[in-house]
Amino acid sequence: MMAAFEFRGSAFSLPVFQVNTADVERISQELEQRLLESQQFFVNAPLVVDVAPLTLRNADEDASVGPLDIATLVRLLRQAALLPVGIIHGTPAMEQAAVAEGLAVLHASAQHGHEKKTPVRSRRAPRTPTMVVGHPVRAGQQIYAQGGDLVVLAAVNAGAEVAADGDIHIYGPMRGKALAGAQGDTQTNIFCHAFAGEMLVIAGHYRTFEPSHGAVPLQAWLENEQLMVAPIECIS
Amino acid sequence: MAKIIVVTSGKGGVGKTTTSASIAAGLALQGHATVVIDFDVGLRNLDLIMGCERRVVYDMVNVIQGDARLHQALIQDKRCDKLHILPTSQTRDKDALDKQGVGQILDELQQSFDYIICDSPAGIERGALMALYYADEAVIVTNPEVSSVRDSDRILGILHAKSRRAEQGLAPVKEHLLISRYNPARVAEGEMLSIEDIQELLGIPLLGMIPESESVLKASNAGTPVVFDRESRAGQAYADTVRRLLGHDCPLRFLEVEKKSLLKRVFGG
Ligand SMILES: Nc1ncnc2c1ncn2[C@@H]1O[C@H](COP(=O)(O)OP(=O)(O)OP(=O)(O)O)[C@@H](O)[C@H]1O
Ligand SMILES: [Mg+2]
Repeated sequence: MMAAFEFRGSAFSLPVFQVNTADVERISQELEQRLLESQQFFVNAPLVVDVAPLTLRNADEDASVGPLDIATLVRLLRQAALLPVGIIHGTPAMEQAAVAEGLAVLHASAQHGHEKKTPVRSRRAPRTPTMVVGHPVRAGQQIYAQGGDLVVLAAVNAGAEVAADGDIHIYGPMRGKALAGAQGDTQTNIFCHAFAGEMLVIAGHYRTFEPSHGAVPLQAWLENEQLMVAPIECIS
Repeated sequence: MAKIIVVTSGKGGVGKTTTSASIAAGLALQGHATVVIDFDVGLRNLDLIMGCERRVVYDMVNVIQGDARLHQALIQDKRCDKLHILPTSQTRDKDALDKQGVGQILDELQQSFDYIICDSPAGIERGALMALYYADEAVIVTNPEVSSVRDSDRILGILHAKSRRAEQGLAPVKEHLLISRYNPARVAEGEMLSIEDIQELLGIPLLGMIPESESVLKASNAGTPVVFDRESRAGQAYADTVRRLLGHDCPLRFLEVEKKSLLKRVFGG
């Protein structure tokens, strides 16, 4: 049986709310203005509050305003339907105030070290590599690309069957049977460079074809549980 | 090392045994030590077509089971001393063949022959698998009709997956297409698939085309491989096929509709 939960290491890229002034009044006004303009793009987006401009600089440059009131800032952000989840580059006092408001304390070293070690690409969701078949698939043969897409660079002959959990692309003559979305993914497609096939299936919805003379470039997809086909037309 | 060539088709009655006999005889006539093996256990057609059925004492199954030595079972052809036949049993079935036994026989034959031709039974079961397992090359005999092409496609898939070369990850079995019982008149009428149709469907190189010819039946009734009949189209087409197999360039013949001469029409034949 599967464990009820698990802890896993992970990396997320979060938007940063960089605070350039300790003047909460000004922040409030500008925030209102910006949110009007930006059509609430950041609504419910988790944010990290970065106070580096206030703490890493000479502290008494803006002495008239005094230190940033973290508690007020956090409430202000929440009022604007933003979701502050952490603070970075804060003084110990700021961090303490942030924790009191339910924020996490993030560390610059961890952030920067992480940037260096992990290439941006690895943040993409894991995916199964495409299966590429370079020889003809003949009568009686079956090919199945589990968990991913299938590309066939040769013929799929009458009586042969190719299947994939993802999309299927066939570049040789297609005379057999193709099943995309074999595990039920209705968003999958089939593309045939030269279609003269027997049957197409997407997520269990199928369509059979009469023997034809001559092959056409064809694509197939699902629409309202109906298997649709159309010639492939290139837009130039 | 001898080259092992399987003659196979999936479908029955398309001309495998006729082809095995004529290719083996043709290679021997060109001076190559050749043995042709009948893998059709239980039916035993090859020795009839080769005209040596009366000389069969021991067969391949006897050798596999240790009841006879290989040289006792081999029959030398009376017309061509480079040609030998390894007949099969008529009383056993195809379960009498196993990979190890067949492998040992082939190993021994490799010592003394240049070419080993394996006449496969029809179907895709044990007998056919045994015939193709050790092949270096395959001659796929196909008649110009849809069901024969489909079965050839099936057997090509099996060659690709189940031969020794496939299993051991060696260079794939070299595939040759031989279109047999081709009738240009019926192709012209649209009643039969054309050479181009078949080649496009199967996607393997063409080794030859053997026209439909009455001389084939006559030759097999006489126990003479048709390649010995220099007069007949089928015999000449098999001779061409053998030349191509040996790597010679040789244009396809007999593609046109045969016009019978007035005299032939008067006397028939
Ligand atoms: N080119 C040809 N023209 C006319 N008849 C032919 C030709 N080739 C083969 N035949 C005939 O077809 C029949 C089957 O031939 P053959 O026995 O060689 O086929 P096969 O594939 O070995 O059959 P099986 O699958 O039973 O082993 C025979 O009667 C033979 O004479
Ligand atoms: Mg036969």
